[in-house]
Amino acid sequence: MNKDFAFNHPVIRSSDYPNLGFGLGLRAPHYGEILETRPKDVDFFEIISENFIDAHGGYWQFLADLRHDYPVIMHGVSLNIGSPDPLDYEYLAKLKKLADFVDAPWFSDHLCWTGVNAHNTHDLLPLPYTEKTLEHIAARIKKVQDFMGREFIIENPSSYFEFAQSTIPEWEFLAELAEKTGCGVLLDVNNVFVSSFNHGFDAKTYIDAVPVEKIAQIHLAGHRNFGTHIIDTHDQQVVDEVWELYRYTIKSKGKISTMIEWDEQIPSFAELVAELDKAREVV
Amino acid sequence: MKLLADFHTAILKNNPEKIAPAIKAHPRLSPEQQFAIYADGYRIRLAQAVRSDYPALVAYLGDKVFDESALRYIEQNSPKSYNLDFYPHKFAEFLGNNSEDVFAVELAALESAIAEVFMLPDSEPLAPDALAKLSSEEFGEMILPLRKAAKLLSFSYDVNGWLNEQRAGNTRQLPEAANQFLLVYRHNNEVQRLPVSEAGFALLKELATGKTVSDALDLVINKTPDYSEEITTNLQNWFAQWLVSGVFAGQGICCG
Repeated sequence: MNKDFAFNHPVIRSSDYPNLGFGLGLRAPHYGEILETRPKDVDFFEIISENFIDAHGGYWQFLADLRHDYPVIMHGVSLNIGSPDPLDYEYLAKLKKLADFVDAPWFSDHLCWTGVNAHNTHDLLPLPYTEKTLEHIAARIKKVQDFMGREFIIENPSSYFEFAQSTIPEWEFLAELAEKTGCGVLLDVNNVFVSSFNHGFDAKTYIDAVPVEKIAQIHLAGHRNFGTHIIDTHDQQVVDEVWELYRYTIKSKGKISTMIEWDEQIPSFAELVAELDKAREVV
Repeated sequence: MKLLADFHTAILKNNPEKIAPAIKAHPRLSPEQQFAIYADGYRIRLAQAVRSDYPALVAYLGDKVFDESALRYIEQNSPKSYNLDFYPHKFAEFLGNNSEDVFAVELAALESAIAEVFMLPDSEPLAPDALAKLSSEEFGEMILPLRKAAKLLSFSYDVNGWLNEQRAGNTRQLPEAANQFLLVYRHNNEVQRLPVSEAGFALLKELATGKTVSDALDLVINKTPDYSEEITTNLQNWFAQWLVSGVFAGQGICCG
């Protein structure tokens, strides 16, 4: 290597993960249309793992069919990684079976907990960000990765309160977790915006703090602003401020697999693709 | 991690008292208001899940009565599974223990069965010609288990007919009381509802327990001699229909 060149030019890091392009969350109203038309303007699909792990064979046939033409990545909501409960290995075994079946490039879940004492609120509940919590979750992520034998990436959640006992900003907590465990980050740009509004931090500070090489994927989604707070609803288009934050993210981090989540009041497939095209325009 | 347990309990009890002091001060919302986003969200999410499995019951009871029942169910039953799709299945049983509206309870049982059967494990159907070359003795020794995704239901109203009409967009009055027997099962990845006679229902129930065809027939006829003529007349047609419809699982086992 030319040492002068290396000295005079800062090293620009990029994501360690392959750029899959622009994807969509796979939702039931669109199954038929997707199988029939095999849209070329969608590069990959993300499934909600829990929608399939207990589903009958017809759904698995559908996934096999889909997998033929698209990478399929898995996004979960019930890993319960922050809980004091033991890891649920029955759930993990089902997750592994599905991941092997679709040969998912990676699987993801959230930096949160969903319940204790074997109960599940089916919500992504906030955690106290402390050294103790960091150690607890890091140890569990390592166990999950060992069990699954596949890349795990963790998503920053939207949250509606912070614990007074938290001592570490969420962005530092996330970066440290990725560093300690080797897991990747699913950077939900909408969630960064939502939480920055709700808790009064600078969204760009958050984006800047997440190491680019750890970012495997980006989520974009719509939310609802109630004036006093924002709820992450996934029921409408991505708002302008989030597009702006996405633009900032791509400018500072480079091209990263990006997808749109839309889970309530799901629009036509054409409308979803149009939303995805907006992300393409940014890049 | 007592903090998380306290938070969980607060959500279930919808009472922020213990958790509010642990919530960081916010310029626009009190700790109680911040907590309510989670506590309300929990109830709304579960209510939506229950509602989605019981559309006909919602149509029959109306939004207000249904939502009140669903909320009572939610307050008394915290989800345990990682899969939210399982949560509504026990709502029919809850309604059965808490409502005197027999038609509503039966309609809930049918919709619950449909939702459960949709998710029960797969099993291959017995091939329609699997019994074709058997002698009557060999047939009698066969064990013919039902598909894994199957439930036998009996009703005192024509809930199946009411459901068909409701799904077709027709409003119907409450049907007259009338015994109805139904096999709800999954075949070709779709939930089927197969009406059967009372005697046919009794026979399928015995077959489902793993008895041979002969033993099941003997038991049913001994228990209810009135069924004898109907069974003798219809047995061949029943099995022909059940085989074509994919009612039985896998290879029938001949216990010889």
